[in-house]
Amino acid sequence: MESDLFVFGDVNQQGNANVSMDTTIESLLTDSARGIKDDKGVKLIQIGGPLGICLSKENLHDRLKTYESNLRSNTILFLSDSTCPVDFARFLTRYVTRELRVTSNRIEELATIIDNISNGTATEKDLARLASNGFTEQYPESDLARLIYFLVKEFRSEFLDHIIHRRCKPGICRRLFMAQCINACFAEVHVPGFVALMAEGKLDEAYGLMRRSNPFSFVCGRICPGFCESACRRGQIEDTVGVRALKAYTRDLAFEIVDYKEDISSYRGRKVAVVGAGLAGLTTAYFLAKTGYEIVVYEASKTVGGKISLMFSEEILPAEMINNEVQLIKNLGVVIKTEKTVGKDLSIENLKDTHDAILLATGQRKDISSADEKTELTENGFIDIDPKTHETNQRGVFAAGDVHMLGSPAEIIAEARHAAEAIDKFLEGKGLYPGKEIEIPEPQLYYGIWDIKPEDGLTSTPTKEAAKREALRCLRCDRNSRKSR
Amino acid sequence: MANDGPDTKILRWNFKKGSASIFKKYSPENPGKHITDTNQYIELDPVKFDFCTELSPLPKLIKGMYKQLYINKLIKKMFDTEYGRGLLKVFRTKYRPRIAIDIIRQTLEAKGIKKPKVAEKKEPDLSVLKQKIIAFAQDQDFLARFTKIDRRFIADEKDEYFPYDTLLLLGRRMEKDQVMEIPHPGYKTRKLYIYETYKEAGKRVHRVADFIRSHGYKCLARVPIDGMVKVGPHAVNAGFGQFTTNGLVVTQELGTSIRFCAISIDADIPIDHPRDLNADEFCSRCRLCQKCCPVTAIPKEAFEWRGGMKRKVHDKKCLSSLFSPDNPLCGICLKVCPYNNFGYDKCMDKIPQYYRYNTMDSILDRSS
Repeated sequence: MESDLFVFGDVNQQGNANVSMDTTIESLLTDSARGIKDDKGVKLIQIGGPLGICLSKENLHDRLKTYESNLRSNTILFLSDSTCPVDFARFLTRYVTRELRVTSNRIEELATIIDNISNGTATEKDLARLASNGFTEQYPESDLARLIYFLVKEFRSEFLDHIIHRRCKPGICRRLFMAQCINACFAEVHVPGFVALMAEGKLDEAYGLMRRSNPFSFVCGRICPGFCESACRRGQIEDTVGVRALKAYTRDLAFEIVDYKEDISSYRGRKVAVVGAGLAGLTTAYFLAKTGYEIVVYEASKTVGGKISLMFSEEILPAEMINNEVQLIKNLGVVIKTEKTVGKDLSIENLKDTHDAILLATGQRKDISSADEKTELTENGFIDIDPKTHETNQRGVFAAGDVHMLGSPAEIIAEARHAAEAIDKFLEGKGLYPGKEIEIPEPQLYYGIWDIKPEDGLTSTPTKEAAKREALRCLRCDRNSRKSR
Repeated sequence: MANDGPDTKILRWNFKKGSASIFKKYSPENPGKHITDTNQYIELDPVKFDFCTELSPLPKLIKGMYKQLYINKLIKKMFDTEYGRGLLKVFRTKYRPRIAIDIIRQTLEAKGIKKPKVAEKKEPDLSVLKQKIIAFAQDQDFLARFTKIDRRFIADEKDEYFPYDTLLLLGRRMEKDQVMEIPHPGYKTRKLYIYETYKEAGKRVHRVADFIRSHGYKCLARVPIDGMVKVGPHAVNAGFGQFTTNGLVVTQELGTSIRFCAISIDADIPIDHPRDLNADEFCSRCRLCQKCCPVTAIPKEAFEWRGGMKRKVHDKKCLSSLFSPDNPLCGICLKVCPYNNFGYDKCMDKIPQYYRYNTMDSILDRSS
């Protein structure tokens, strides 16, 4: 039996499809809808209108006739991996209250809780109340309650991420972050601020703003795939703002960064030892040194940089670039002692005598000789740590970076910052000092903002006028209000 | 809704002689009040709004006079620049005569001096009449929707200009090539985007009114430049669209570059209902109009104004930009809005796809 279905969502071709009830959902997706856009995966399927049944990708092989009774309206919606289930739940409650004009005590309770999750003021108890099983049989309250129960059960970790960490990974619950690009960056660099300072030609301040979150900004600029550009709001509507090109321009002009003046907080803390001068170790050393701690870094080999100095060729990431930014860390007073292997030349017990805390950041190694027998390992051979405090089983010994979990350079820098916060808290500090406040300009945006087209070849180093034009294209999403209206 | 008595009528200023109460008297019936108060897609506190309407400190006539004095002062400054003089010349030669003819005609009709001819035979089926009017309006390049009039949005002392209850709203587009010339309107096309729309719409609204009269019903037309009725809230009640950040109405077909005019008809035509276009989901992630406004007339946060939570545009600042010598006839918020540059459908494609359920009325079945 054939019937007409309206297929829409994150698919390449939307529209009416005349199919028989024997087809599977997967073949409907690949044949009539030509697959999901941008080759992403399926996350949610909804059959039968906004209060119809919701399925996950495990049901892709089911035939359509299993759900024939749910076809109150002849629609089928496919949602891809970039969907936020919290926002979907919020849409469903708003649809019932605003479009169908139905309300009851239970519906109001659901609506308030979901709104609180979406703006970061909910608690875990609220999540339990959301998924409670008190169904009435009254349309539409029963359908709505069942749908929300399904969403919470299927995507529980994402709901918890919104509640506990106040973070929306797909970047849709706009009240939890300042801008989509900042949300997508692992290190949370203030990208719109950087672009705005570039539009005014203030290179030093732009670099300082980046260093508040990431001490290896120029190094990352060479090797990062650019998550900010993929999440750019302008890129979703038209073409992304060329953040990487602007960074290349800043770097080529600001190569005298050895003269760059770093500022240190006036707090004087205790001594911390860092084992391994890779990305993780040096980033933690940077954040702690800026806060006022005395850091000594022990590195086994002759050169610093760790895996990034070995992973990338000289054209992509020249050794000079790594050394320039390492020099800035040394300017903060960090002492780097090369050719000193912890575990051979000195042991952790020696370090414990002279330092108040130790960070192990030795990276991927077959034998973790720097750790002594007392340190506990996971079954994969990595060092086992408490995920919140980064502490190993030994008191005062922490670990960060590849030595406990493999990660990309961006993830490692973000993790190192958390480790620095944890060490600071352990040593009873008052929080990290990321650098002095930099004022981000808020001018009136240019009226011809949609007339500036991105120039070809902007990914290579641009001229001064092209860089300024490119910086004017940013929509400054960080200036939007985050309240609910 | 059909409540006779003071509940649906509102107190208005009244300077005419021979009225029972000093200065204030009751208006005629207010049937649109129910639609505005129960509109789920706007945030309005009806009690506060009624209170503010009755308690308006100055009649709008006097406030209007102060506004006109300020505008005259600004126009005098515009005379100092070459570009300003050129614009005023274009306005006086090309647009003012034609618009004046339409205004004179509407005033004569409203005051009863010139009574236009109404046909003898009435069209019996009102739904058929509605389809015919919409088809005729489309021929005249209008979008047409019906609603009931809400007298809280009519100027004081002008109730006689809207004697009937049903209101027909006609929307005409502002041409894209003229809007994209902002902030130098008329540079290439030699046309001013505001007055071109006013001229064309004013010409044609009288034709639509004549068409309605030829089917046997009385009606009174108002040209779009007239300020006696606030067309924004009526357009939202009629289902054209919703309010955006800068106070314009966004529609599915034309974005925000649309101007409305109204005709009040003496027939109980079935009205259209408000629709939810989820405009706020896109607006809240954009806010370009607020960031590009040259005089920061659009506030960043919404605040309460006469019972409604909205971003009320600062009147004096916006006017000062409208008649400024640097960018006359401002319109910058109109030019940067993505709804105008890319269209409503393309913009809604960029927020999650389930928001499209709201506009799929023909396919969805809302009953149980």
